[in-house]
Amino acid sequence: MKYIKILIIVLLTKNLYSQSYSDIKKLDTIYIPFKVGKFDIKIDYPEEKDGFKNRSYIFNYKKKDSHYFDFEFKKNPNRILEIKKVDKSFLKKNKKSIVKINDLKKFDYQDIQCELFTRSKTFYIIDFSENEDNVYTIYRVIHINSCMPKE
Amino acid sequence: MKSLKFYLVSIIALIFYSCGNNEEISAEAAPKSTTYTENVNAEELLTQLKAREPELAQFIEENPFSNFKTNKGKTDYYLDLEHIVAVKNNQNEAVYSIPLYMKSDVSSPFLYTLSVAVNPENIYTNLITKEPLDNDTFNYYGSSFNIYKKNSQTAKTNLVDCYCTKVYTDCSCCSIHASAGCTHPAVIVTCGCSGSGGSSGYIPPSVPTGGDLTSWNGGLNSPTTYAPTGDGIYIALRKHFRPDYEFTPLEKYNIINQPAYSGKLVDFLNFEKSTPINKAFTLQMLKSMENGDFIMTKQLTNSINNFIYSQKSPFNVDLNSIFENASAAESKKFLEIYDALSKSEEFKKLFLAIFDDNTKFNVKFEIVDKVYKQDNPALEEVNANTSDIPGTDNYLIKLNKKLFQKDPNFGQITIENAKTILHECIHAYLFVKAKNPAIGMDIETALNISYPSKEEQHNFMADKMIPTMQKVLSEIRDLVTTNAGRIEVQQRTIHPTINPMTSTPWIWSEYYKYLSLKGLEETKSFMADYPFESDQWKLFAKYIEYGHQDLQL
Repeated sequence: MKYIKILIIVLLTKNLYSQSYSDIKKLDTIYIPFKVGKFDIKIDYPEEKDGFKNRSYIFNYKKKDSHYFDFEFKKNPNRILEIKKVDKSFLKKNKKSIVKINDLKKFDYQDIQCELFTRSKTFYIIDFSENEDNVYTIYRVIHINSCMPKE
Repeated sequence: MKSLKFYLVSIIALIFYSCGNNEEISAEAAPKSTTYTENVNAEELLTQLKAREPELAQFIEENPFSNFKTNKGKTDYYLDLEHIVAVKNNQNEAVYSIPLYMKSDVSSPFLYTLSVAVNPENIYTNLITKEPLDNDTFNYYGSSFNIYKKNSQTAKTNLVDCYCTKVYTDCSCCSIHASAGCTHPAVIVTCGCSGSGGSSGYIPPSVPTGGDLTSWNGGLNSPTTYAPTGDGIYIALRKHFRPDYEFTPLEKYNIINQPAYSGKLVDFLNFEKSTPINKAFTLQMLKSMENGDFIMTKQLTNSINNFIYSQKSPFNVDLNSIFENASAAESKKFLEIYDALSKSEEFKKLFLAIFDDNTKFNVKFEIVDKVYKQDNPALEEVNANTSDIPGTDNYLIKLNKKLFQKDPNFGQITIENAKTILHECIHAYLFVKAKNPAIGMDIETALNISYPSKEEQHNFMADKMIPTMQKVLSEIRDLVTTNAGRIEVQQRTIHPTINPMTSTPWIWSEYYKYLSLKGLEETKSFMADYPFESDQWKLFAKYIEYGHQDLQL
């Protein structure tokens, strides 16, 4: 009985807090939650020639490990940022597409770069640091991909 | 002379006799016209000759064209018994035209036909010489024919006004020729009248020929059009070669009797121009036709395309596998990129000395569904690889088909694919240089050093060849990116360092450098120069990503 309880807890925890590798691989759109912290930072760059103001969201994946993820605002030809203001119901509805960077620690870094965070996917950052009255800002971003192809 | 005159009179009479009658071409047409043309086998002629002219029959039988190459014949004449055409009438008269080739005729523009006219009373032989003219027709000359004369030089002797060599017509041209010339607007290809444009009527290829029946439109003199008959192709090909070269009898035979193949050679010269090297290649292809190397026209088309691409590129390329699937999107994209690379002076400079005019080294390209590291399916899938084919000086470059598709893992933009193809070509270069250091030029950064083993090629590339790759990419940039994409990426501001924040505009030479280093991340020098998460590494990653985002074609 004790073991069954443990098993249930383990399964429940797994289902509640992270997706499997294959689940993430299947996603076309990925939402990544961001909170400012010691290892997760955002950098606002100076305005560019065309008025575009770029920003990086950097996740230091394994803290002291050098591996990291870098997302930048997607630059559209019209220079308009793709921004959404969403509430909790949106997050609930898209729960399966929300991937926490911390949950990726169990996977190989190059596998993530080459298979999970490929260029064919659409990425959004949910910037919790801009949360106002339970309204969250979501930015369309590009992933600075560092998959190393073999030639 | 008397017999010749009689012959000419009789042949013209035979033609004239039919004037005004409708030509029968189709077997379904009825009733049979008084004069008609048909392909006949040698047996029909020989049966008649054996009874009445046994010596001539024996001569014809013993000198088939198949003996030409083996030198079995005792005379200078070889007869193509597979392509005999007869003009017949309902008076039991017939003129048999047998294509004839002479050993001694090593360099002349002429085509020859042995004409055997048979009627109930007499049999006449005559050698007809066909002289191709600038107006895409033939002049016909008749001369006596002596089977005992081993080397009978024909040359131009007696001009024959009209002569039916292949297919019969109503010959209205002949009836008015003496006074007004052949001015008829449409002639069914059959009779040749000197200067008339008769038998080898010049028609555009688009006109359906309907077997031997075709229309003569006349007046066309474009180098891209020709009569899709053996004779028409011969005239067109010869125009490309003269005055430097006249075809040998064997070449003439193959041009005339393999029009499906020889026509492609005219198209090739029309489109690629009759440069000396293109003409040399054409002769090479004629030799292959003679040797029976081609079973289907596609093989010749592939050879021509390979040659065209090899000419434009600095080494011999074998693109057969790509041409086999030429309409596929990936093949088209590959060829576009390969064309662009071939236009780069640096690319040519690097490879020219090593591969050009050197038939020893060949590079074969293949686009395949999957490419594995070290060609081992148990290992990971890769973008591309280059291998040396053991025991040869041939190299095989395999490109992953997914590179040219919107594949999430392997899909690349055009300039990235150009870099991958360049990267693989450099592997081929290094294979050759390692085995043959004395061949070709040395890259400036690699003077007085030895070339690397297969395992060391990536390190060598990262250490020594990035400037070369940068230069090639700079030379082809505008061919593999769009103007809009270039404007877009040039709007970017780059931040080489974050702390302190520094900024630069987009620098193309930096982009070429980073693009060239892509795929070399595991080399010693890359890891030393671009430690992971260093500012240098981040700069590298951003240049690549910005290029990928903005420079998509």
